[in-house]
Amino acid sequence: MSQMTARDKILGRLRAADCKPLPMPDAAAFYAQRLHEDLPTRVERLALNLSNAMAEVHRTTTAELPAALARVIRDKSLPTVAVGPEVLARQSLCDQLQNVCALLPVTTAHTETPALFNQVDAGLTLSHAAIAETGTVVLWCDAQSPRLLSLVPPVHIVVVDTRRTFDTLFALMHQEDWCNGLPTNVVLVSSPSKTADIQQTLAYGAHGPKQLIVMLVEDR
Amino acid sequence: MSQPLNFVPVAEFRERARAVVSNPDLQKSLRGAMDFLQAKRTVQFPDDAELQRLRDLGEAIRQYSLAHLPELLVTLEAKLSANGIHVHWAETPEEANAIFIDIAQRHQARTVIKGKSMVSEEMELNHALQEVSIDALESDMGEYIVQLADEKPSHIIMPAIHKTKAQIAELFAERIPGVHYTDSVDELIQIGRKVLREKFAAADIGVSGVNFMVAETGTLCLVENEGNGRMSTTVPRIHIAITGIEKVVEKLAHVPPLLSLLTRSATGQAVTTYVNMISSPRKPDELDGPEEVHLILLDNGRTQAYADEQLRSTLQCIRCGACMNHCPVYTRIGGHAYGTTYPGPIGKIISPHLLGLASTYELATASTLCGACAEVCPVRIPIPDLLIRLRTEAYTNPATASQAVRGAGSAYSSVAMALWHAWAATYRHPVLYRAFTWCASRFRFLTPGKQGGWTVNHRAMQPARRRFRDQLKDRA
Ligand code: SF4
Repeated sequence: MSQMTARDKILGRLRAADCKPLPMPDAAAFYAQRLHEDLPTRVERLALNLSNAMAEVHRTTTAELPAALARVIRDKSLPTVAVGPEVLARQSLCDQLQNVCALLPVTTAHTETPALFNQVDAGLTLSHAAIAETGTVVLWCDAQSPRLLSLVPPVHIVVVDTRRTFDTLFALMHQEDWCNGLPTNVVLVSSPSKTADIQQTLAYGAHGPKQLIVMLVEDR
Repeated sequence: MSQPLNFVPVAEFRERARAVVSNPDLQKSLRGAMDFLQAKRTVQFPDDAELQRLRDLGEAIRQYSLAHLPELLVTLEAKLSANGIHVHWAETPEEANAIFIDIAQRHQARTVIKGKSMVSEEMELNHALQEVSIDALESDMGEYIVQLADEKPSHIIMPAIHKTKAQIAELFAERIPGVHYTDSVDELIQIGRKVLREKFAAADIGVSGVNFMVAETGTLCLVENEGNGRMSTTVPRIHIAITGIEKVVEKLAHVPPLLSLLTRSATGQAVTTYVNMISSPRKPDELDGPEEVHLILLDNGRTQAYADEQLRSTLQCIRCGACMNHCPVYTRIGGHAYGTTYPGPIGKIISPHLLGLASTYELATASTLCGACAEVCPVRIPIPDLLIRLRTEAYTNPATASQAVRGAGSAYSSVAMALWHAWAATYRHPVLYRAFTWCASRFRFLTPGKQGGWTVNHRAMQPARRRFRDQLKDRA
């Protein structure tokens, strides 16, 4: 007999237990019973939940976004802002932001990591969607959107297209068929980085951004 | 250094528990912490009907996943491999450590930065790495504090829950070079952040646990508040995730309900700051993320629990910690007294499979069976039933004990068993019972002053001068 690997032995023991198959649990039925809100209500809920979780929420429109972002960056005095390909592709937005800060383009693998850790004041990213129930911004990290931008700098600014606000995480996954494949990394963000590990006292900026600034873009 | 956890002398459990119970400061901070966590959880479940429906669903998902565990693991492995994630299987903690060290040495890794992983505590990974001169640094603030103090986590969600702010302030001033004493929580966290940032940037390997593995997409889901988990899984060139074989679910659609139960039960949050879903290493056109991702799947006695239909439910656990937060015993003795990686009610029911009953049976007896744990468990594990089962396994005659649990019968004593049998027979037969009570009241002066475990904490029992039935007769 050939040598049994740990895998074979573990699977062998599990199969030997000979469990009876069970019917597939119906998560959809549970979520079907839940409240379904219209878009404006979802957006209000999103904004409320985010601000309750200490995120800073700014509401703006597509046309006003560059000015609103420039204002935030100036008011917070963030001299250096890192951006990835997704933002660099918006030429006119970048032009306007360059009036108030230096943009650090993150376009080649890993080379900007030391700068991100040491010199950058904020990371600016777009987002994939948002979830009203929990006040969550969904980051879809791929070649256009580096993962470190929303994590390493002390401030994370994220732009949310409010038309993409879903009731629940389940609704989002379901409507977009996430089960057919996910990108390298999806991150759900619902507040600035925080911890309560010292005597249950809440402190912000544990390892990730101390501030989360959410630009809600809504065109009525 | 850290004491090995592979064998916990039963006798010391009582001593450790006693030490905590008689420490008023510790009692106060434990009580405060548990009240805080209980209150936060309660606020998250205002609608009991919704909670019960969600628990039904969570329980069904976990039971379904376990019923189909071997197939799901095979699917998961295939999917992860197709996504470019390497899957490793380990039967024992030693095997898991060897796999880890092999990966590390192949890459000449010198430093490892760790996100929170209870399974790595099970493996004593830090210890194993130290022996081959690889530095492992914990980056979860609680874990970092505990590591700095050369201790072990005392809670699975809040590792440093046994420490006060003042103790942490002293620890930082003493152990971190160049740090002056401060007891401002914000400042302390910023000190930790600064130290650990440099380590993240320099580490060769990042380690994480896993909360849920999704078979259909080959995805690892991690839940956290601090961002250290994201750092550990993004910055270093290699990411090694470590978890138990039971953490898999089939469908992505199974994640939202479990996630909701987990974060609300654990820390009373609708969702954690970050939910991190990893499905592959960095792709060629991507700008950051690890180039290599590994997953180590550990058995370590889980297949033993799995083999038995009743004990299998132990593996439904999603490690929320609610059972310990609501346990009157945990609240008084804290996490360290148990001496096991997992303390509290979940520790009592999982540790016998990890470590054998011989060194852990006493944990199962340290319960009043009040049922608070089962009442809050989001996936409805019948913890009190499992405690009774484990007690039975521990106290039956090893010659006739079932083979379900390693170390079954290790608490067996033929004398005690004979006494119980005699007692049962006496109770069943009225004549015998009357004769016994008659003798007992007449010869009460013969009752021993030391009555085994009873007299450790109580005054010795003595039969009454006159039997109850005689007293009743007098009244009639
Ligand atoms: S046994 Fe239940 S309550 Fe305890 S940690 Fe596991 S899931 Fe949570």
